[in-house]
Amino acid sequence: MRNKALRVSLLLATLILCNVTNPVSAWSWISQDNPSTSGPDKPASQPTPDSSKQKKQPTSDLKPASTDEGQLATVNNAKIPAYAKVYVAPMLGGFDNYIIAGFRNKKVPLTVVVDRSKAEYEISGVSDSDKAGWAKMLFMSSQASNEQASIKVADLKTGAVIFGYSVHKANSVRGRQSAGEACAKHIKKIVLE
Amino acid sequence: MFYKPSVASRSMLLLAVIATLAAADETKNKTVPGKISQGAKVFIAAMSDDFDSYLKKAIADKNVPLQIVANREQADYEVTGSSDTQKASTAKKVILGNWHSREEASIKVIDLKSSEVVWSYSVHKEASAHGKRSTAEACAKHLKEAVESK
Repeated sequence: MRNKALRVSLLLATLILCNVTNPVSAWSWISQDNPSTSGPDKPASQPTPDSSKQKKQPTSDLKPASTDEGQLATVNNAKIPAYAKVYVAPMLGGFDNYIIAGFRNKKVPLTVVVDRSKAEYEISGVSDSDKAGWAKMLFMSSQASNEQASIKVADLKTGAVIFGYSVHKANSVRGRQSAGEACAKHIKKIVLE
Repeated sequence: MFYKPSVASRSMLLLAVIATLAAADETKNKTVPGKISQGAKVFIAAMSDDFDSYLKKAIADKNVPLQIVANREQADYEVTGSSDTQKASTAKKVILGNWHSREEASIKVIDLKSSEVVWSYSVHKEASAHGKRSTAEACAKHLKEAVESK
């Protein structure tokens, strides 16, 4: 009986001593199996299985644009042949007209058709425009609008979306015209000249 | 010894001349793909905020060499587009001292035979002195340049 009490007290003393000398290693066996309890003690640079998987993914699918205008994504580096027939679907606020005008300004070598059945590719998307409020005018002396648009290009034969692009302009000097031209400029990058 | 043309050869020559003249007249009115020919018949479709009315007036004022027709079936080209107007807000008037409206417009010219867009243009005026009239005249001016350059 006395022997048993001595063993228990020794074990407790060892545990307390371990905890005092190295508090992290003493409880590390708990945090190994449960990542949610790791807390701030876990180093941030330690790779997790999920993050290593993300690193292995090919980066060609999503390419950042050279400017901070937006991001574009091409699927399997798809390209559109020059002078291919493109149908621009009607968009909210007539943004399709601005994209077509952008094609002309940016000299995009595509043929725009208004009959969808004659087209090889279709461009569709959404756009939104926020006019400058009184606070923006007062504090920033700016009356430029806030423009955002997102478009996608689909191959009508296969039905696959081959290109996507989104643009956000916090201070668009020329409103929707700027957003339309940005879309046209980036579409030009996937056209084979 | 002079060659005397017979009646048959004379009539053949006359027919050839008539055919050449007819072909020349035909090509004058024919729409060339990707180009807007001078004097072509244009139908201006209805646009938001009656921008088509301003555009018609501007085309007439700027002497654009195009013929506007009211019937789409008679036209070689169709002009469609959109426009947006934002009147100067109180903040714009008070803070920036600007009474002018903000105008945006975009038009495209479609060849009705091929369904191709042959020309397009967009304009943005942050402080438009004459509202929609200014943007419509800008469109007409650039359309005139496009027609005359080809």
